[in-house]
Amino acid sequence: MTHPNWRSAWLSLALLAIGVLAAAATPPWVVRNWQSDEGLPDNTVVGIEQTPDGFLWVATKTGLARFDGVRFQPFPVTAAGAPAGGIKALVADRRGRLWVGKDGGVVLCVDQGVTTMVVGPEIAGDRDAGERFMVLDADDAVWVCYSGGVVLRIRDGQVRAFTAADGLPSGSACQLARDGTGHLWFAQGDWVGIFREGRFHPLVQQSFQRITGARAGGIWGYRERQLWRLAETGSPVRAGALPDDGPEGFPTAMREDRSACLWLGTLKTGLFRFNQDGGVSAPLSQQTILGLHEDREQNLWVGTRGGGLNQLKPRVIEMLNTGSATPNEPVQSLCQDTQGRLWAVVWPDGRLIRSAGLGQPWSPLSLMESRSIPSSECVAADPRGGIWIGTDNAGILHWQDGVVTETLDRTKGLATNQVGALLASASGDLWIGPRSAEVLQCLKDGQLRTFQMPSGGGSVIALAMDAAGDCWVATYGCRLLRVHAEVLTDETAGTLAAPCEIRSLLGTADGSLWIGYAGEGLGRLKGGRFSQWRSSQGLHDDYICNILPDGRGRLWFAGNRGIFSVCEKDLDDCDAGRTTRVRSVVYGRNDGLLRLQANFNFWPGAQRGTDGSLLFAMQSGIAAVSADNLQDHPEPPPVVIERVTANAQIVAAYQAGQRPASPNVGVPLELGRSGTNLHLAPGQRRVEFAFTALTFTKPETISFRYRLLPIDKVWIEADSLRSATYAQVPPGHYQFEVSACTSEGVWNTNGATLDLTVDPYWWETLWFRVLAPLTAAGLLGWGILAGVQRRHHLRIERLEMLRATERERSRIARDLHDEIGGNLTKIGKLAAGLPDAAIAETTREVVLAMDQVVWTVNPRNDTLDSLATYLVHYTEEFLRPAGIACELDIPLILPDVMLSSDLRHNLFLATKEALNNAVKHGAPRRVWLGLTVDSGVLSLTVRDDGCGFSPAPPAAGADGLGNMRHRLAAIGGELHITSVPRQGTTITLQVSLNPTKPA
Amino acid sequence: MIPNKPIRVAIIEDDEWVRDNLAREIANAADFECSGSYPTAEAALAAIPLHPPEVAVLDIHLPGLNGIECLRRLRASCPNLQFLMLTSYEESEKIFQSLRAGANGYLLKRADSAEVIDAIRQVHEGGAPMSSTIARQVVRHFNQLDSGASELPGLSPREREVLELLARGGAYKEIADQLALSIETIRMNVKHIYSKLHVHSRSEAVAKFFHRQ
Repeated sequence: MTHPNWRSAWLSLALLAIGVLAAAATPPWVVRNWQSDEGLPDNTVVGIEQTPDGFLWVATKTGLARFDGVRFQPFPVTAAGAPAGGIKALVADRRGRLWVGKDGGVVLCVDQGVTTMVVGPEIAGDRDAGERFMVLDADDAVWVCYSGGVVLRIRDGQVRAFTAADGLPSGSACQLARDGTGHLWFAQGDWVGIFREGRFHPLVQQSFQRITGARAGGIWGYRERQLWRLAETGSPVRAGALPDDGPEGFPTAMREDRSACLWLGTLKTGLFRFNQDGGVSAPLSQQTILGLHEDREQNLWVGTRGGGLNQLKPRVIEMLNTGSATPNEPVQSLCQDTQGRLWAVVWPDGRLIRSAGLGQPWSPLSLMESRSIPSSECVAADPRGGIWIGTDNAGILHWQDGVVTETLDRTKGLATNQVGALLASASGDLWIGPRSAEVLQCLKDGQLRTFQMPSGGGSVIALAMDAAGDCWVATYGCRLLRVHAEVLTDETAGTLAAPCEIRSLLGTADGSLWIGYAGEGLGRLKGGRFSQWRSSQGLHDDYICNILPDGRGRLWFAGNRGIFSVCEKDLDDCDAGRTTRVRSVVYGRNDGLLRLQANFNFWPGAQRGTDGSLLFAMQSGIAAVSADNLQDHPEPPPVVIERVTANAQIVAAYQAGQRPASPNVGVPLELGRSGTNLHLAPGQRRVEFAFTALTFTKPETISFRYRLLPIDKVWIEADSLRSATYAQVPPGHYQFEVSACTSEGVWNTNGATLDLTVDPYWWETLWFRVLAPLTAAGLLGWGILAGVQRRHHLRIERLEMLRATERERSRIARDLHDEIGGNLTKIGKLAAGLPDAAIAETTREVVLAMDQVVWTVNPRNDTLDSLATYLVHYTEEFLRPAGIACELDIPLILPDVMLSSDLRHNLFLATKEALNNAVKHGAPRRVWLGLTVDSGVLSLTVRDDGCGFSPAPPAAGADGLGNMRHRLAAIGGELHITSVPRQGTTITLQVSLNPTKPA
Repeated sequence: MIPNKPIRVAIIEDDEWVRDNLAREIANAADFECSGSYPTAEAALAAIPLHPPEVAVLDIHLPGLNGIECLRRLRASCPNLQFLMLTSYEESEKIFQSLRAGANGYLLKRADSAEVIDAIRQVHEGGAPMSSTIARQVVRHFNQLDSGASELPGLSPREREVLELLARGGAYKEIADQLALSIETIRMNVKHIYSKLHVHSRSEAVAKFFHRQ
């Protein structure tokens, strides 16, 4: 009779009368919130749905937006005849269509960006629809529930109404829910039932405020604090409850997630989660919950009224509360003993604290116990039970079950009584690093051995055992030492050329010794070979204080800049030269963590717990990484080309819809359909591709690469940048490809591609006309064709070079600006305080010159518009301080013409010279700068009302004029000067902008 | 003479040297006070809303959350805070973006102490002067809106006149003479133009899809 699936799991729970834990510990999820200042159209989010392509659609009261985890793309939902009104519900079907329910019960359908009205006001009538009143059934039909009890079904474009005649019980608004086995359930009035073979069949007399489908079949129902579970056969069973003394929580949304937890959103009291352990409240940005959705990566999305969109994802790192009155106390050393208890030493007073295990509260030792423990430095678990404690002036203690069982101090041969590093090996040996002594000691079978370390090398800072059983030692003096067969050797020479301070060591099962440096990143000794990875290769931090393996192929690091992980395979690939970078997955602010900096100087400072979690001693407590909560992404996320712009206008877009991107261009090409070929008109040559990858768990860790075939021979690494720009794409056929890569280094093989054709100008197709009459002369024609092909080939090669040059120029501009510009500015400021004003003045000039060089070099400025903007800026800055009025006559909108850096550079310098001459020799009150483009000729005019000169210019100005002539000659331009004494001078620079002749 | 209440200024700049130098320049100026300096947007967002100063000097390029994003968020929590953007060289596009996001002026990093203090004072008094470069972009912005038959508030004929003269290189004094107005009126017009720009930046989110960003 009963359903075993739910009965076994939940009946016992029902008997336990589950209560909500009022103040649970840190919840096992992290909440991220988005609001309208981040692009959300409205802070009232009524529904969230993920379409099969991977996009998340967010329905807000005032509009719909498409979300890729990084950016919201507002999406207009209007159709002819549709009344205005807020959005109330959203459903996505399996074909990727969106069904939008609006005020008044109107339903619109958005298919490939095109919106149509399916249920208009004439059908919906004046019936008010309930909140979130739409459901999708197993056949992709959309069901709409209206107040008064009417239900509409939209299937294959047909709308059908269901009423009492179809078996619907009487009642106000009906509720529908689809369960995991495909059944459609309803709750109407006092009845709950199932829809089958075209009729509503009431099954059980029970009234629910809200129902939702259960994944295992059947439904969940909620009414007045009680959660119920109902299967097709049998009666409802209580499955949980909110406490009687708490808020009642009128239910607004319910959803079972993939880990079989039930989420309940309420009208005024927030969100609750029920699982086997009971119900917990989930604090969010707002207490009125309107929508719930679980995406394919098991993130839970929650829409609130006025509080925006929330994402709940599993918490990976948690800062453990060490139970002290002072929160976030630094921890210097920690370990887990054989009984699973955790031990830690709190900095700076060396207090020992303990917890019965992960997830259990921490507490200081009892007064009695702590009397026997002096101030501690470090703590290590003894594999035979108990712990070893390194103290700061009483040597080492072995401590078990509340009593000291063994002591080791100077009287027994310990080098000093202060011990900062301990390593208890699996074989039972205890390796000891006494402070202020250049020795390593080892307690083996009751015997204390002493290894003299190299003089001047300092005392021990870190210890590790490798797979072969050798002990490795790092010292404060940058030495790396090894004890093999009872002999200590110095291995420093086999590592970095210039020794660097070491903070941590780790031996792994594959025979590697990992070395965490203070400033030099990560090192590895494996089979006698040393490798190194630094931040320049993608390592998040060059300061590494602790390293732990997670047993799933990743190494975890705690350093100055927090906690991050890198895939070991990624490190290997980079080391072997198969890749150039490693990918660090960084945890911090986005994961609800602040102030993450690792502690060091005490050993051990990290431990992999018996349950697989990783514990790190941090300057703000203990960080616990639950690697189990890490969702593996073996599959890289789908990649979508979202938008293509040519000469700054959108020419193609993903789900573009029918409306033109701006009044004077046509409808953008739809990128959502496969097999599209984008045609660009002649001259549309500055092309930008915007793309994205659809993952929501850690979108910031996704990196991209792209190429435009046949121009790019190799992939261009875009890292996390989600766009690519090509400045000068000549006529021809191309294919743009982009793919994404997870932090594990897995590239998606398909990625996204787009074919595009840049149409030529007529003169660029000249060879067609040449070829046609010559076809008769076969041989000759063939020869020309071969020539044309060769020329085409050459052109592509030249383009590749051009692209390479452009990238190089961008890099130089960036380097000049970042590396030198900033420092020059500093020198200028420093010089301002010096008595010799000439230094400050010269520096200022250098800074200005530098700005000009950076501007010239950067290929982004290779446009006429950029030249004009820069000239305006320069002229104003130059004339204002001299007290000369300036007048600019430059069209606001300039033709989209590419100018080479050479042309820009020479034109700018010539104009500068002209301005300089005017101010220096003409003593004008006003200077005009004009720019015109007429039939492909660019004219720049500098006119002043100064004293002018007679036809033979004064000798002083001759140099300047010579320079200008020279500069214009270099770019094939001309210089005209007219000057009338006492009436001013006009200098005109002219240069042809005609595109270079076709190759 | 009764000393004025000092103008409180916060600095958000990632370069430690530049930050400290600015803090010193501000501390040294009469009737100015540095209320705090922050290396990142995140640090600033955590601290500034608790006790907002009058003016924030904000680097356009910040690691992590960039300056413009920081500006947007700070503006949401501290509506009366004025913003002066710091940029290392003339990047009119970035500056224009930040002006639209609500900045009240900008300053090149190479500016000397006197220029820094002057700029902060102008921002505090209601908006920095508009350079021709920026004015050109502003004109273009409003033209584009007009052609799109926007419902957003456009410019008044007077504001448009002032803006076009600014784009043609006119100084406030010249424009005032030419239009037979006081310099104060010109300043007021520029202030209104700025605030209309800000309005647009808030409402355009919806329209963004149909315009180039």
